[in-house]
Amino acid sequence: MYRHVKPHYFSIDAIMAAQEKIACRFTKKIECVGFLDSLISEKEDGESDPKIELPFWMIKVFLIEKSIQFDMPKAYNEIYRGVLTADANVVDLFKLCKHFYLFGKFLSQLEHREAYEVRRVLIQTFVDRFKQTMDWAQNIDDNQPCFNRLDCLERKIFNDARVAQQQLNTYLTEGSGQMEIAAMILNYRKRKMHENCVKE
Amino acid sequence: MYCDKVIELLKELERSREDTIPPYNNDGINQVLSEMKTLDTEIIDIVRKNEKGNWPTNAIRLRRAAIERNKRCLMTYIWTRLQRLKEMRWEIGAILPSDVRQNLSQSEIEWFNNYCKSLVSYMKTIGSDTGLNLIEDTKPPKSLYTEVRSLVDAGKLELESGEVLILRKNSQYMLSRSQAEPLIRQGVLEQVKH
Repeated sequence: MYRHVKPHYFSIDAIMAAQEKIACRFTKKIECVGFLDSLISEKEDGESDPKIELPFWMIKVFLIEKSIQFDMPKAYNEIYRGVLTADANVVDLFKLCKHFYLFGKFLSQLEHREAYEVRRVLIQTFVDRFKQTMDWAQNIDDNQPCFNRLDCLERKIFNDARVAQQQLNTYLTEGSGQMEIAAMILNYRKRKMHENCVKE
Repeated sequence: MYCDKVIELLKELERSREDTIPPYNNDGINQVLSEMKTLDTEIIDIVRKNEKGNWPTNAIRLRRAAIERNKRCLMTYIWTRLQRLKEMRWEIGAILPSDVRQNLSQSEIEWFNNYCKSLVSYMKTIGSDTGLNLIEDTKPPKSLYTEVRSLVDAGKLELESGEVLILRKNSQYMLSRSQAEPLIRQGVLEQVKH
C-alpha cells in the first residue's frame, strides 16, 4: 500500500502536482520561446512587469538562471498559512489545491524566502488533520461529504484505512480463511450489469 | 503551451477506475511524439542561428525540460497501464474478457502473453516436482476440503480423481480446496459460511 502514497518517477500524482500553475514574472528578458512572446506582448503596453501563470516544472527551469520571480500560490501564502495553523480541520483542502501536500513539498524545495515556513505548515497540517481523517475512515458509514474535503494523499490514506477496517471487521465476525470472489471480477460484473440496464 | 497533450492523456487514465483499462490512445501518443520531434528540431535551429557563447540558454533549457517531461509522462502512461494489466493477470487469470482485450494495443497484448509465459515457467521451477501454483492459497488454508454452493449452472467439472461432477445452481458440494479456489475467485462458486 505504501507504493501508492510515495511519489516516484512514474507517479501520476507527482506529475499532476508539478503541473499546478504559479503566478510569476520575469526579471530578465527571455528570447526564442514562442508561446511566451505572445503572452507577454499583449500586456506590455500598459504594465511594467506583466504577471503570467506557468506550471511548476517550467518555473524550475527558469530558476536555474534566476530569471524569474514568484510568490507562493494562494494555498500557501501568509493568510492561508495562518488559517491552517489556527485550525487545519475546517479547511476544504481539495478545493484549495488538489495535490496540497505534494505540490507544497515541491514548492518548499525551491529557493524562496518562505520555503521554510511552508514546510513547517505542511507537516503541522498533516499531523493536525490525520487524526480526523482516521476517525472518519473508521467510524462513519456515509463519508462522502467528509471524503470530498480531503487532498489526494489523504484520500489514499483514507481508502486504505477503510479497507483495513473492513478486513478487521470481517475477521472478527467471520474468522479468517474465507475464500471470496476476486474484487476485480465483482466490479467487472457490476459494470456489465449496469451497462445492460442502460441499454434496455 | 508545451506538454498539454500528454497531460490530457494522463488525465484520461486518472479519470478511469483503477481496475479498468481505457482504450489505448494511439493518436494522442503520436501527437506527443511529434511534439517532441518539433522541440528537438527547434533546439537545433536555435543553436545553429546563434553564435557560440551567445545562446539563449533559457529557451534551450525549457525545450529540453519539455522533452524530458513528455518522455516521463508517456512512460508513465504505459507503465500505469501495464501495472493494471499485471494486476488483472493475478485477479482474473490468463484469459482476459474480450472488452478488456479490445482496449489494449498490439504490444500490450504481446507483453501480457510474455508475462503469462514467464509466470508459468517460474512457477514450474519452484516447489516440488510439479511446481508451485502461486495463485492458489492466497489466504492461509484451514482444511483440505471445503463446502461450496454453485451460483450458476456451470455444467461439467472434472475432479482430480477423474469423476465428473455436474454443477447446478444452488446445490452444495464438498470439493478439494485447490479445485474450488479458482472457481470461487471467478464467481462460479461461493464458499458456504458456517
